[in-house]
Amino acid sequence: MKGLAYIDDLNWIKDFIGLSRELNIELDIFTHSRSIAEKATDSFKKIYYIDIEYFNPDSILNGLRIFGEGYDLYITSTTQKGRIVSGYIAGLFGYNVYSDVTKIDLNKNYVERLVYGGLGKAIINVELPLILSLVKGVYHGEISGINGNIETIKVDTRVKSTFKVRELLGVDPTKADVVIGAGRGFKNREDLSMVEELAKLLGGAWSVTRPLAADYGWCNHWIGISGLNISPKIYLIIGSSGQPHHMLGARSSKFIIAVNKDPDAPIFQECDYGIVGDLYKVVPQLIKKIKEIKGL
Amino acid sequence: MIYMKILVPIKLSLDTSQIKFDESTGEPIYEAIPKKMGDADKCALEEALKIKDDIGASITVVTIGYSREHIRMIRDAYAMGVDEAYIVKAADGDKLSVRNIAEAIKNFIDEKGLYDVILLGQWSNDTHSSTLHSILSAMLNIPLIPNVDKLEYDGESFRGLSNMEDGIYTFESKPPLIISITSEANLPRIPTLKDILRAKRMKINELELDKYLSKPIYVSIKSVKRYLVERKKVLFKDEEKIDEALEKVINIFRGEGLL
Repeated sequence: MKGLAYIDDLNWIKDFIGLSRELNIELDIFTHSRSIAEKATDSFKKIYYIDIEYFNPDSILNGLRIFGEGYDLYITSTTQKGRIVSGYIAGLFGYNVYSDVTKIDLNKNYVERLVYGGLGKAIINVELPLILSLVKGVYHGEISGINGNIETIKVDTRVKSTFKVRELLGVDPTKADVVIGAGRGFKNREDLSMVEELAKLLGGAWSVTRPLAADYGWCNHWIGISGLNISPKIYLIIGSSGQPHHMLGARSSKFIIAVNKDPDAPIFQECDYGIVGDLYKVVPQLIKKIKEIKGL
Repeated sequence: MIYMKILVPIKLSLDTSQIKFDESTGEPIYEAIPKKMGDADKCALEEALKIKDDIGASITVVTIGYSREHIRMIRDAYAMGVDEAYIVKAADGDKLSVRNIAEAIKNFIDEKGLYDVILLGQWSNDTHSSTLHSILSAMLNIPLIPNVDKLEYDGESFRGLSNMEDGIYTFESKPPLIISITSEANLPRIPTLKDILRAKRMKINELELDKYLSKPIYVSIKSVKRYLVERKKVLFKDEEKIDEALEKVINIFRGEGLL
């Protein structure tokens, strides 16, 4: 069986290595990033590199017209770019497409996918050829030492674009072992200094829920279905009710610890340990204790 | 004055903020879940109305399905200010594959003539697939400006600002175009009572599905159940025991090698 996977973020390479091995699929890769293409040569035989400076949807569409036909299974990540690309493949080649996939069983011809903002899971009967967008962390494999070949694809675009990279404030939340998340319980931007301090003390990253980023502009990234997908050992979420759109981006966390003053907040249904209390009292106490342990 | 022809495909979605599951089976209680126009679809419609206000436009909405709620959704769109509405009658429209939905919209466009701009929501409230925009772009072979938080028009080109995981993109192109809009792009207008009453008199054009889709493909759903990640759910409620709770948290940090 032959597959084609789109990788838009280096973090996903091991997911696709794992998928390729577990499903026994010979997987070709395509990407718009030179660095991803080079990294992928360690684990995949064939890599199509669409030669553009940064993501441009129309260039990807035109690239797919050149090399995209004839595969049994198409895989993307559930990132915003991955979803766009999966739609292009469906539109070009006429196959069914499913997003937010958490399980693939091609022997029994079904997939499991998240629905209703992550509150529900659907089992869907499928047939190949098929396009799937995969949730982060479903598969995992280690780099295998293959010396793959990159084919550079030159394409035109009808869409002009510019790109400004998101400057991460400290550690990248998608790569951190511990992530501190802040929600609407924080009253001022300045108060996020507690979150920053906690992240720094633990050698981790911090981020926020979408309203704090998109509505208040307190941070230039957020965790959730439309933002970052994180999978740390510990996600400490402070002052957030735990809306499904936020939690969907954090569900792969090993432990979720929540601080919220409302005992009925939905977050307490989705955490391992919950502290009902005022974050303005709880967080300084936690910082103090950690500092004591570290002798600071 | 420039006059644009705009199409806004809209979907009747489950209001997932009010979703309820049967405690014994874990299945959604569909009859208890309200349905409404998707949040992002409504923002797409608002962007179309802003274009109409600024430079003049005729706005058409199209939806696929056939229920009282679909009719109510179309009346809501008329009340907001659209000029023409079509419903492609499909009793099981919500079970059609997204590729089929795109195909039906493409065939509708082929029949009505190309629109300058097709504005649609980035994703629906219930499935969140976020693929319809790019499927349509590929099928119609017209460019896509995806996931737009802020839309501008300079008299020639549209420019969309798109917040993605790695940073901020701006995409710019001339019509004909497909533009998908996020649910954070704007605050949709609230119709006046006069608008609501006027909307009741507007004509809803009914179309037959088989004219737009030769072979409906329904998603073969085996089951849908509540999804819960198993968590310990240990709750420290007593303010007197915050210290004990924090010790527990610190032990977890230690256990994971973080302290």
